[in-house]
Amino acid sequence: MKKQPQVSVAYCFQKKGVQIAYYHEEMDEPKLIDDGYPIPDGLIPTAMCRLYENGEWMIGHSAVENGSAKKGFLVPDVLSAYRKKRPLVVDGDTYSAEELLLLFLQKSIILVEEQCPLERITDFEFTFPEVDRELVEGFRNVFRQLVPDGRRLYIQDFEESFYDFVMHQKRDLRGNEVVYFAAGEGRLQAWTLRQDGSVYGQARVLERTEFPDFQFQTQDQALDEAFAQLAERFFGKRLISAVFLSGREFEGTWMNRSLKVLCRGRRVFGVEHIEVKGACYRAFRKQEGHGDKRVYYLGKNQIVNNIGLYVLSGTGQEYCRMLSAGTDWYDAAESAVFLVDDCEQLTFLVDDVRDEKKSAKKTVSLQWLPERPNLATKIAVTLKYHNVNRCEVTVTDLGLGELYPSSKKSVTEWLTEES
Amino acid sequence: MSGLRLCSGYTAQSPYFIKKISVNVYTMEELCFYLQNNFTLVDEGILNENLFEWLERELKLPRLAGMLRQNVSGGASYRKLAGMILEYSRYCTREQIRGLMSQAEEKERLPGSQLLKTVGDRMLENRRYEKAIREYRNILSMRQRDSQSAEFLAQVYHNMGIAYAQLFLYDQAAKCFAAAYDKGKDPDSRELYEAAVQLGGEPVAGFMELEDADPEDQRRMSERLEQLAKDAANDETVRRFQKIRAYKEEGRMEEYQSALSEFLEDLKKECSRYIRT
Repeated sequence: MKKQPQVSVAYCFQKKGVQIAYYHEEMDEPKLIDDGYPIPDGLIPTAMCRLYENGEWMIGHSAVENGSAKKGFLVPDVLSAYRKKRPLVVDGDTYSAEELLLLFLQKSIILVEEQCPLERITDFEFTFPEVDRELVEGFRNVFRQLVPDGRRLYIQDFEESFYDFVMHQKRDLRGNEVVYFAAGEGRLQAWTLRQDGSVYGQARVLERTEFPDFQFQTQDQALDEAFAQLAERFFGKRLISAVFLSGREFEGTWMNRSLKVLCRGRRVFGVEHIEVKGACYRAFRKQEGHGDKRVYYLGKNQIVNNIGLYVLSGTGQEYCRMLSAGTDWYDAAESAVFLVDDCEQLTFLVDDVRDEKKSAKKTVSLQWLPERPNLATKIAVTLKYHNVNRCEVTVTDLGLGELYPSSKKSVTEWLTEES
Repeated sequence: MSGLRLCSGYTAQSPYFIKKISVNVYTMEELCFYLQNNFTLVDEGILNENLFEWLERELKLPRLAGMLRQNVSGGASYRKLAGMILEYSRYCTREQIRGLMSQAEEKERLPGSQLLKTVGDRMLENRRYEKAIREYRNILSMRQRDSQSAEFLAQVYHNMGIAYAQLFLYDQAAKCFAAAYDKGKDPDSRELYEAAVQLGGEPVAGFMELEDADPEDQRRMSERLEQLAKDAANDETVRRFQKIRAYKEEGRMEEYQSALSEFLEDLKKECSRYIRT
């Protein structure tokens, strides 16, 4: 019997609602999930409504409908309510912000299961316009209650989602720089994904450009000429493999010269829902056997350091990397256990992939360890980033089982500094 | 070459019990540490099918288990099997294993009492005081006792004294230290005798009192005793023990019973780690 492919599910939280999509390797592209109502922009409102009649909670469009019809108590935006952290009292029942969010996600999972059984879903990805530690920890906590069986949750911001979208495209589309023009509410901005001249591996960085003076007014020749000139100036002499356009403002037949400018030696695509698709692709790439681990992204949430140390191997030494550049800082944590063989300090190699000159060695003394015979001490070494710049190392004495019980002592130091 | 060794193997859910030292081991590093440091003592007590099954089941090392079984069928010695484990896990190099083999052969030529002392010392190091005392007693009761050197016997008595002291049996500890000093004239044995007496042990009749010692020795011993007393005062177990004794001496029987029960309960929990059921 053919093995069913593993499924990734992504949630893209936006101002006006959430897009939910799923993807597996046999699909051409991710498919958006609806809540039984038409979703022209792919968005399901993050509204909730508790019906007066039976106390049942509704979400999405039916929540808005029932709330507007005064058939229940309406929470217009559960995400906004969650961020405010204020509890809600409905008919004498108190709901914390976390409980409401959990309830919303539980109801949304039912929509997902209508398309795809839960047992096939291996990874979830949540993407947001911006992320911070509070958001990451809060959602992770809720997710653990939502899916307690250890399934993976990845969190990213929209810029990283765009990177993941591009990295999922064919290689010839991303050989050089890739530009994404996003139009919305009459405004225009662009992201350029390019390879950084980094020391190790193939890092990609994203640059954001706003065009505050550009307005999408009437769709006519003037607009076409204005956009063509903007594109010419913006591209300059750069080598660009592909251009992606999203937003209703690009619809219609007004693009003539501007299209010719865009298409000069480049592939051009109109694309919708780039963030939720990128998020699906990212969760998919995290599955075993997918994704090119040599290529990584250096955005504002990604660490720029490779951190490791040398360990004994056979008759020599080998490098053991514990953390890699390109990891989201809120995910950048790693632990390993080592046996101490006549060694008085740990020496970490902290490489800054952006600048070889900034690479450094950082030592942590082991002289505080209890006196024991050689090879009778194991230590747990834990690295953890507290923000995108600062990494902390904790070394804990583990002793050697019952032969030499642990003293439970540990030391903690900073490995990297705020830049 | 010094440095760190990455521990990437499995940790057993069910440990392997090394009966000789009453210790559970959970990882390859613990097993190898024991084998390397007790190379002379390896025998079928540890290198048997139980171990091979444990290696296979708990540490997920079927290949090593298979190799060991094959070598057992081929009549390999226990030391060879131990060497195979040390080499397979890269805990020791071949050269180091050859060194262990030579040392083991040398020790084999030693009298039986020396081997027993090695076992006793290992028990003492692993805080198995009763077992250590048993080994030392075996040595002392051996027929060849009279042919054992005074220095050797002094060491045996001295270590036995330490084992008794750790069990709070200061009377026996004092006797052992007195015997050790009598045979070896080691100042350490003298000091520990005084410490045992200070902690409540019965002085040994006819043993040299501190006041009769050389003035320099007196000064040194007094300083040492002071330091030992300070160390003991800081030792959690000693503090608890002294508190319990104080309750009894002051007639505070309810507090004495309660503290004693709690102390014994904690001791039981500590001991139960080593009991196999």
